[in-house]
Formats: sequence, structure tokens, C-alpha cells
Amino acid sequence: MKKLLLAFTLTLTLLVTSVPLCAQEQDDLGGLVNKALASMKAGKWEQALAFNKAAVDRYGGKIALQLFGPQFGNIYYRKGVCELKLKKFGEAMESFEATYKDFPNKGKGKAGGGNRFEKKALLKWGEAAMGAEDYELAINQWKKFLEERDKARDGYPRGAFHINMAICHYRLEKIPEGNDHLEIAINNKNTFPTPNDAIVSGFQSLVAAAISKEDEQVLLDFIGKNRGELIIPPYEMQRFSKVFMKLAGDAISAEMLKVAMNLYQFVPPTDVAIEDLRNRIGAMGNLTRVADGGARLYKDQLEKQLTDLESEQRGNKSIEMIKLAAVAYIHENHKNTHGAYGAYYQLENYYPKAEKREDNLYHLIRTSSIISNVYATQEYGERFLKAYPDSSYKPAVQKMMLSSLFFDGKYEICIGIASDIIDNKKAPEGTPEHDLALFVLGGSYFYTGQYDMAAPLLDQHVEKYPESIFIQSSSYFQASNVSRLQYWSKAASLLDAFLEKYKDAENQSYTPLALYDRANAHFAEEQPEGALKKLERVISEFSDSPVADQAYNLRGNVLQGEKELEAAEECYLKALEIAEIRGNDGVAGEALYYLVAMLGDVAKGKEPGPRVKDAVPFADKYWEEYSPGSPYRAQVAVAQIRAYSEVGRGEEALKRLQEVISTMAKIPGAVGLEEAINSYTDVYLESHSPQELKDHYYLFPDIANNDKAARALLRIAIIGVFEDVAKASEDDEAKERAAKAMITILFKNLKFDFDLKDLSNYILVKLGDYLRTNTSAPREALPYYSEALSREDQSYRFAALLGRADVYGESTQDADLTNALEDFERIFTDSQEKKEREFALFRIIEILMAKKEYAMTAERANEYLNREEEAGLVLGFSKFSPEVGLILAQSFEKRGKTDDAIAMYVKVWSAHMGYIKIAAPAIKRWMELSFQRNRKSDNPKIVSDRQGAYNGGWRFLELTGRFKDKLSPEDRALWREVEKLVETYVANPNIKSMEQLKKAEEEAKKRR
Amino acid sequence: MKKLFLSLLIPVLAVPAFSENAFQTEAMMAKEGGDNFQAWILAATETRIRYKTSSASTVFTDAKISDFTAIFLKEPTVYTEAMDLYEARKYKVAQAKFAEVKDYYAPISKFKDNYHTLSAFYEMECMRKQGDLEGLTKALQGFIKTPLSRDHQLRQLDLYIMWDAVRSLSWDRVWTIASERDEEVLPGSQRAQIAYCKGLALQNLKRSAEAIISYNVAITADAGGSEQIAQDAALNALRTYLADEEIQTAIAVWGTDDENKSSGGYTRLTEAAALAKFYEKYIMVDKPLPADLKVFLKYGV
Repeated sequence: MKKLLLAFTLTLTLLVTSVPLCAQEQDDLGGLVNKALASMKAGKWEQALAFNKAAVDRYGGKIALQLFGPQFGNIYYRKGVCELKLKKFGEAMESFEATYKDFPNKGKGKAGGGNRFEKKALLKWGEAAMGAEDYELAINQWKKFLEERDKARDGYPRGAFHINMAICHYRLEKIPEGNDHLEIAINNKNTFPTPNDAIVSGFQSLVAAAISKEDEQVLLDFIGKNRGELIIPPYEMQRFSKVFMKLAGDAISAEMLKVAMNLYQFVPPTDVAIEDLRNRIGAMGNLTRVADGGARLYKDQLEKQLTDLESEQRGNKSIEMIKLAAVAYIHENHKNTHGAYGAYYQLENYYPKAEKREDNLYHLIRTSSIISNVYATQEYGERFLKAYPDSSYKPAVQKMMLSSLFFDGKYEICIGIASDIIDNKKAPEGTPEHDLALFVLGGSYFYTGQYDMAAPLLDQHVEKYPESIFIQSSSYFQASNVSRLQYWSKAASLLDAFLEKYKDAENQSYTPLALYDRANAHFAEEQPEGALKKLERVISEFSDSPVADQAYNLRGNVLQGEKELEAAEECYLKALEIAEIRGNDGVAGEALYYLVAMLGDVAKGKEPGPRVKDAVPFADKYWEEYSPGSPYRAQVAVAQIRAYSEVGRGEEALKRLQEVISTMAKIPGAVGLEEAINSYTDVYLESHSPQELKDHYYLFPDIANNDKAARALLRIAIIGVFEDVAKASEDDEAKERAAKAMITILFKNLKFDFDLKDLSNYILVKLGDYLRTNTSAPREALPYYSEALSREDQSYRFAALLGRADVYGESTQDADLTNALEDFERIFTDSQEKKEREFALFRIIEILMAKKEYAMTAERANEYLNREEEAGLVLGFSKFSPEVGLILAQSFEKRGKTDDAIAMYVKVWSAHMGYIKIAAPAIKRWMELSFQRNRKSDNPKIVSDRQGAYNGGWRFLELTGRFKDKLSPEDRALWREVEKLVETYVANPNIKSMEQLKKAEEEAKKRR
Repeated sequence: MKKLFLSLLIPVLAVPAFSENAFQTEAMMAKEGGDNFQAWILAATETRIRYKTSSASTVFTDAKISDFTAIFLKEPTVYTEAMDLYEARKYKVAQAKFAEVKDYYAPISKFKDNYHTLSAFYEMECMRKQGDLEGLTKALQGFIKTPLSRDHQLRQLDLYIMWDAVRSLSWDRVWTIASERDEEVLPGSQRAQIAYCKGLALQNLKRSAEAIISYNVAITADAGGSEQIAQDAALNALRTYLADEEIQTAIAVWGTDDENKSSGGYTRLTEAAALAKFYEKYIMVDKPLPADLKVFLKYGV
């Protein structure tokens, strides 16, 4: 009875929680229960746990059920709740287990409510097990709860329940079961309700499980099915942003890139989330909290989130920065470089405060370089170098800026940047940056045709950076550049060296180009066999090379030079075929020009051959398809004239030529204009007088006054005509004088009417030559030659060099003579014109003599005169043999080699006796030296030196004396000197006069 | 208060307050001093409000909005459902749902950030996402933007002008409008729209290289979140590649002796191939790669 009473009292106490407490009650069960309840209500979980634990410790155990009935289970349940709140999951599980197992609602114990939490303890037991990461147990307890619960009494938050179920299944990697529960929670989110943040928590667990299990598809399917519910308003979603960003990062690491992309899409833009938060906070006014659907909005929390987000937005690690960097990575990982560039572009332009801006900007430059967006490479490269002058990326950025621009053909920009680096020493020598800048600068000058500028840079690069990654390119540029400058010998050796060095290289892209250049050098040096061999290699081994069509054209040129016209024609046709397939209009036009020129060629004064008319269709094709922008317009217009005339289209040809002249006159530096004018002149003169030509040219149709180059060319053409008139009028002194007077006037006008800069190389050289050879001030010619030589235009280079060297060579100043030698050596080595080379060597010999370099003079003179292959290269020069022989003799004499000098003098005067200018001085000096040597002779058949000197002189006078009156005064004076010397010698009593010699001979005959 | 202002309110709040389908929407309201209470709003103008404090009540109160320190409109379930459909990319159904919400919430259409205006806004967004630019232009004419307070929504209304220029194929205008936004920091979805429209303009103005870059900005701006934009941008970029003569040459000589791996055409062909593969794997939503663009799939390296 006592027990029953106690039990009843306790029941009342337990159930009526609002009973006021007094100080004495704190030690009894009722007091402890009341205090525990009060603490729980106040959220004081530690305190509440202490009261509940005291109640259990003092009154619990097996006896409790007997003493107090199943109601005591409520105390265990509350203890468990407190432990759960304090994350003491193990203890909580024990408390809930006790609630469920030790205090069943059986029999009379149910009176007064019994253990109200008997079944709910299963629910909480599961939650505690979940906290303790015993997910199997949690799931089992929840299932048991659902089976056993009293549906009327044991309500539960269904949304959270299914989310927890889902999470536990995901933790056990039972994804399908987890998905079932998550979908129940999602599909009933408005009725359960299921809070948005709970849905997102469940989804996070799914993502983690799918990543762990590397099951991308299950996740993609779930997202596809539930995307609408998973994306919650930005103000709520932003709380999960960092978790999603991390999960996306995990997905990238697991190579689940589509999942990663999807996860990034869940993260709201920071500014949108901020606006949403501000909007909610503003709407809440002075409300501290609002329940909105499944969401609970706490203003202080929202304000805190807003502050954090604004701070994050101002900072250097915003979500957008991370997201864009990851997206860039994903795109580049899939080789969509444009996509990566797009993301880096946004990072740099919209998030320049990013912590990793240096990396981002570098990658922007790098990707811009890959996609050949050279202007971006340039712009962002400059921005990078300004912002990060000491960055470890600096060399790479500089390299990309330059190499990107260079390999994209932006040579002018390259020249600007690389010049700055080299000239202002912005990269120390020996560094990769200097290597690159030097290569790019040299290469850019090369590609823009500024060969003079390119040469020293490429030489320097090849010498300084033999291990450079660009060495193959720069070696080729160097060799090719030299060939463009027409230093054929040097180009030949450089190209040979290049071809040998890189014959087995992996990169063979330069080989056909080098072979082609080498063939060109062979051709220039009149080595057709060598040229053909190289071209054969280009054609057979590198048929897909970019110079294959050009190789055929060059082979045609070589064969044409060898008079193998049919073979040459085949080559031009092949070049045309390839060029047309490849769309190389320039090469196609060139091939057509060669065909027209070869087939339409008619030697002056000869009748046209049978194939002249065949040139017409090629010429027509040229004008119809390839003439716009072609550099061969003038040449074709010239070359086609005879062919067109043969088919009755002569007027058309002349008109075409006139049009070409007018058109070209408007193009500064147009190549071939002078040839066009010259041809026009020839044709015009067939039916007009020189005076009519002069009048016609002064008013040439459609050439404006300011087309100075063309007008000057026309004047030169007139001069040429009058020069011919003068030559042809040698028998008509008045006519000749008039023609020469006209020439003088025309040259003077030309000199004063035109500025040097307005004149083409051709005119400059013409004017220079006129001043050099027809005036008393040859040095006046120097500015004209120098102007021509200062230009990138290589035309008339050797003619200008020759003119300049000749002027310098007439000087007495040693420096001038050295300059002259340099120019003449250049001409002798590299000119394609034999005449020019011969003259150059002759002048070299003269100048060396003038410089008193006698040994060298003799060496070069022997080089000139050599006719025997065993003795060295036979140049085949003869035009200046008398002069060279004389100089050689003089050089012997100067070195004291009297015998050699005497032998050489005799060779000269005996071989060129009629050439008084040379023979007279030679014999005179021969006589003098012989006389001085005074070698006696006892042999009657061999005369002594002195008698021989007299005899030779006498014979010379006898043989040349008959035309002495026709000699020029200068020559006559020289002749007289010989005559005088003969007279002097014969006065010597030891020398017998010719009369005496003849008389003695007659007497001797008689004696025999 | 009610008696004092009733005569003034009647004209503007003339709604069937007590009929069977009477409009009401739940809110939390507060006054100075912490007098918070749940309310059901029956109508509102910019300055006045009619509400009641029980959903079933027939007694209402008219008041000045300025008398309250807070009027928090709770998000109606029907609006949440419409937004879920919108986020689920079911734009057609979502549009219809937003139209319903818009009509129902008309009585509070002048209230700040009300669900009528928000629904009308998202209805237009649905039109844009479905490519119904005619409908968008028409809807925009009747749209009153005053209640909107979020910057990105107001900006979106400005962007509709750009979309209208796209509709009328005024490519110079599209380029100008889009370029004016180049310097602004915008949410990814709006950057995607601008870049896409700019890409369209550039493509039509025959500035192919720039168009491809712009399309790729559109694809990456929000990690492909604007799925229709990303999809169309990728397809247009591929079409731009396809029209590239050098790419056609690279295709013609692919694998032959004439193939030139250092040519621009070859490089761009491999890029196009990469984009085509990326499209199939990550971007495609409902437009499979057309047959003529599938050709690119053969040229990956």
C-alpha cells in the first residue's frame, strides 16, 4: 500500500510539471524532475541533464519499474534528450534504450499515462545512433518506431525523419534507399513540411555518397528529377554555398566533372544572394523572426549572413572567383581552350581582386596565346608585366607575348616589343628572354624583308644561343636572309651547313625551304647542276612543302637557261597546276609570266619563232585570273607584246602596256615599271621619232605630276633613246652633238626636278652613273648610289655598289680605297652579272696596287688572268687582261722581282701591241728594266739585254708607227716616249742600230 | 482608423473582400513597440493596405503602410510551386503557373516585391528561356517594374531591350547594348545572356573569331547554369567553326599527306572537335548535336 501511494504520488509529480517547487523538494524525485523540466525549457541542457541524472542515479535501476511503474521511463527519456542535445550520443542511446526496454507500458503501470515515450524512445535512439555514426542501428530503430508507434500519440516530424533516414542510408552507401527517403521528403515538403535546409542537407549527403562510390549517373539522375525542389531561394541557399563548392571540388578530384558543373550551378551568385538577404531583412522590419513556409527566418542570423557575404564579396576569395577558375580548368581539361579563355577573361575583368589574380592573368595570357588571340596576349601581357614585374611567370609571359605575335605573323608589333627589350637591355644577355627577343627581332626583320636589319641579329642569335629552342629556325633564317641579300657564296655555305646539321632532325619543315634557297644560290652562281639537284629533292622528298610550286618555277628557270625549253615549259605548267590547286595566286601568276616570257621571246632583229603565238592563251589567262595584285603585271605586259602582235592584237598589247605604266606609276616602288617603259619605248619608236617620243612621254596619259617616280622613269627612257641616237650618229657630228646636248639637259633637269626619295633605284643608279662617268665631279654621284643602297629594295644593288666603289676607288684617300675594296669584293663575290664581277676584280687589283699592297695585287691579278684549271678557278675574264697584265708586271717590279717583271712586261706589250695605252708603257718599262739589268750574251743567237731593249722598242715603233697619226693625243704621247727611248738607246755606242744590225746580217748571209 | 480612411480606400482597394474567391495572402506585420501579429492582406496600394487578422474573419482593417514597421508577405505555396517548376526548367508549365499567381495576386500588385509582380517577372523569364521573344516584348510593354527592389531583376528588364534587338535582328544595336555592359560586374546568368547576344551579333556581323570567344564566355559565365544559353552558344560557336574555310580545308586534307598540323585551320578544327565533345558530355539539354555538326566528333586529338 505504501508502495502504491508512493507510486501514485510520483505519477502526479511527473505528469504535473508546473507544480511550484520549494527548497525542501530539491532532494526528492519530484523536485529533481521539476527542476530538470524547467532547465530543459530554458535550454539549459547541462543543468537539465544533471537533474535527470540525479533522479536516475538515486531512484532508477531495476527497482524503479517496481517502485514507480513505467512512468519512470519518462525520466530516462528526458535524460536521453539532454544527452542528445549535448552530443553525448553513447549515453543518449543507453538512456533511450532504457526508456524503451526497461519501462514497458504493461498492466497497471499504464495508468496515468505510463511511459509516454516508450515508442518515441526508438525514434530518439535512432537519432542518437545516427549521431554516434551507427547508421545501421539508427535505421533499424526508426523502422521499429514506425512499426510500433501509437499513431495517435507518437507523432514525429516527418520531413526531418525521412531526411535522416536518407542520410543514414547514404552513409551506408545504400544510395537507392536513401534516394527513396529523400524524394519522400522532397515530394511532401509542403505537407510534412520539410524545411529547405533539411532537403539541402540530405542532398549534400547524397553527393558525398555518390562521389565516394564514384557513381556519377545516380547523382545526375537525381538532380535531373528533383532539380526544382533542390534549388532553394538564394538567401537560404547561400548558407550551403561553401559546402557545395567543396563538394564540387571533390567531384572534380573524382573526375565527375558533370556533377561538378551541376553543383556549381546550385550556388547562387553572391550579389543575388546579397540582394535577396537585404530584401528579406528589409521586409522583416522590426520582426525578429518569421516562419515562412518550412523556413524559419531569424533576423539577427540573416543580418550576420549578410555581413559575412558582403565581406566575402569585397574580399579576394569570392565564390565566383573559385567557380570561374574551376570552370576554366574543366574546359581546358577537355581541350576547349576558348572556354578556358572565356572563364579567365571574366576572372581578370570582373574579379581582379582575386587572391590568385596573378595565376588567373597568367592563364588568360597563356590561353589567349593558344587560341591565337594575339591582341589579348599583348594587352593582358602588358597588364601582367606592369602588375607583377617580379613574377616567376614573367619570362613565360614575355615569351608568350612575343612568340604568340611572332608565330601569328604580327611582325611589326614584334619588332616594337623585341627592339625595346634588346635596345634598352631589358633582358640580360644569356637569359631565355634575351634569346627569344633576339630571335623574334631577327626573324621579324627577316619576314618583313628588312634583310639588312635582320642579318646581324640572326648572326648574333646563332652564335650566342646554339642551344636555343629556336636555333633551327634562326639558323635557317640566317642562311636564307643572306641569300635574300644576294651574298650568294656565304648563303651557299650557310645553307649547306644548315642542311647537313639538320638532315636527321625531327622537324624537317625548314629543309625544303633551305633546299629551295640553296637551289636559288646555285642558279645565281651559274651552277645549274647544283640547282637542279636541290630542286629535285624539294620536288621528290617534299612534294607537300609550301615551296613545291616555286621549286617547279625555279627548275623551269634553270632549264630555260640551259636551253632545255620543252622541259622548262613542263616545269612552269606543273608549277601552275600546283599553285592553282593550292590557291597560290602569286606563284600561278609567276608561272604564267615565265610561260609568256619564254614562248613569246623574240630576239631583237629576228623573226618570231613558230611558238610565239602559244604565249597568247597564257597571257590571256594571266590577265583574266591572276593580274589583280600581281607583281608581274609589267613583265607580262612587256613579254606578251610580240605574241599579241603576231595574232593581230598589237594595239591591245601596247594599250595594255600603257595602262600598266599608268597604274604602276601610282604605286610607290612598283617593281618592273622601268622595264615596262623601256619596252613601250621600243615599240613606240617603231613608228615614231625620238622627238615625238619625248613629247609623248612629257604628256604621258594618266600619269599625274606627282607620280614622280614614273615621270622620272619616262625622262630616263628619253635619255636612253637619245644616247642611242648619239651612238648611231658618230658619222654625223652635228647630230651627235645635238643628241649629247639633249642628254646633258635631260640629266640636269632630272637632277634638279626630283628629290632623291622620289626616284627608284634604277633612276638613282642611272643618274649616279651619268654623274660618275660624264662629269668632272664623280663624287657627286655618291648620294644617288647611297640612297639606292640604303633601301630594302634590292634592285640595282650591285650596279649601285659598283658605281659607289668606282668613285671611292678613284680617290687617293686610304679610307675611300678601303671602302671601294669592300664594295668591289661584295660585287665580285655575289653579283650574278659576270661583267660586274669582272670589272669588280679588275678594280680590286687596281686599288690594291694603289694601296701598294703588291703581293696581294699579284695574287688577285693571277686570279684574273688564270687560264689553267690546275692553277685554280678559271674565271674566264679577259676584258681587262692588258691592264691586269701591266699591273702584275708593275707589282713584280715594285717587289724587286725584276726578271718576273721583265717577263710580264714583254707578255703584255707583245700580246696587246695595238693597245697603245697599255703596250707603250709596258714596252717602255720593259726596255728600261732590260737596259738596267744589262745581261750580256756570248751566244750570237741570244741578244744582250740592252741590245734586246733597243730591238724590241724599234720593232714596236715599226709595227705601230703606221697608225700613230690616228692615235689619241694621250696615246701618241706614250708612243713618243717609247720612240725617244729607242733613240736614246741607239745613241749608245755599244748598241747597234737596226740599220747596223740589218747590214751585219746581210754581210753574214753573203759569207754563208 | 478603419472608419477614418474607408472612404479613401474604397476606390483603390475595390476588391471582393468577402466573396467565395476573395483574395487574401498571409503576412506577418509589426508596429513600433513590438506589436507583432499574423495577418491576411486583402489589398494594397503603394501607401495603403487592407488586412484582417484571421483568415476566416470578415472584419478587415484599412491602414497606412507607413504605420507598420514590418509587413512581411509570406511566400504563397502556389508561387513556391511555380518557382520549383521554373528551377526544374519546366518553363512552359512554370509560365502558366506564374500567370495564375500573377492574376490571383493582382490586388496587391503595387505592393513592394509582391507576388503578382514577381510572377509577372518570372513569366517573362520563362518566355525568354523558351525563346519566345515576341511574347516577351509584348509582356514587357504591360509590365510595371516599380514594385521590384532587387537590382538583378531590374537589370534583367533592361536586358530585355537587348533581347528585343535580337528579335528584330538589329545586330549593330545588339552589339552596342551588349558592349555597354562589358565593364559591369554581373551575376553569371546575366553575363551569359549578354555574351550570348553579343556572340550572335558578332556572328551576324561576320566577326567570327570574336563571336567564338563571346559564345565561350556565355558557356562559362555561370558554369552552364543558363542551360539554354549555353546550349545555343555552343551550337552557334560550332556553326561558326563550320563556316570557316580554313577548317573546311583542314577537314579535306585530314590524315592525308597535305595535312598541316601547324595551320590555323587544323588548330581550330581540333578546338571545334573538343567543343563538340564537350557539348555532348556537359552542355546538351534537349538539342542533340545536329548531323552537320557531328562531323567534328571525328577530328579530336
